[in-house]
Amino acid sequence: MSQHRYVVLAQRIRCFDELDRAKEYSQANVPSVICERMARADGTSGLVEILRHDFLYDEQRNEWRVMLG
Amino acid sequence: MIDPLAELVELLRAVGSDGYVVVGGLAVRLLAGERNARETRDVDIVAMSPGARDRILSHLRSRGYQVGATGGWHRAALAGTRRPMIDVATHPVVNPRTFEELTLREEPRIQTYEGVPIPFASANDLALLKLAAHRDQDIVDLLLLAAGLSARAIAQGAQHDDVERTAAEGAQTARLLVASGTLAGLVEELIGRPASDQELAAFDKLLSDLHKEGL
Repeated sequence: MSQHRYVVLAQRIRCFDELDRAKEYSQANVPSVICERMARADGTSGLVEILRHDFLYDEQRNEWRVMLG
Repeated sequence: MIDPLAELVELLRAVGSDGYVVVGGLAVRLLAGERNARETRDVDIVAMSPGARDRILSHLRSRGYQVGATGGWHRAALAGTRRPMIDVATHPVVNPRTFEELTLREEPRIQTYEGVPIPFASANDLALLKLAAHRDQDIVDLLLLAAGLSARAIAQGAQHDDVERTAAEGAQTARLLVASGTLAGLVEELIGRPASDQELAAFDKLLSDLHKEGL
């Protein structure tokens, strides 16, 4: 079974072994979320969201601007 | 990271379950029995009335959440913590990509956790939301739900909301992912296991039935 360490959830999912490349793709495809495959206590592994590129803080409006996918 | 389900239970215990319906990836995974799949960091809730929306947003603000808004949705985030974000839509649900409105037509399914009733959108209503969004992750969610879906109910919902074109785009995206062999890899990456023969057969039937219904 083919699994990568980083999975970017965007309109189209892409998988990467290096975080830098995952960040590049994520930032170029907002709104998006980077997930990392992490080991669980039961010996399995799962994806955990580590970085979101789907909202920004608008300082002029003093509020969150959401970019829902 | 605080479990999104625990956060949801705490939230609905505080504001009451009446007037709210849970949607999104958390709802799909609980309805499909895939609790161990991707650990989402957000909770998607539909407030079925403006009053319910104001009640939950007021509660979140009182707990220090910063709340932002866009296109019919509010997002509440508690900066500096690992608490899940809470995304609140007001019914009918706005598709943030197309700004079309989607109606939850069926009675929600109630599951009780720690004594708190949690209303989840029905599988058919969730499926229409997923078809309308049709990101890759939405197509994987559709695969998980496929065995319990009614293509006719989904198509009727799309017709009622006048979103047939968007839903048909979603169905076609799913067909392309299946035909290209891409879907199998996506399932393994997101769910951590291959799709079963039964799941793939149910998904093929759903896509065929949706086509017969005009989607």
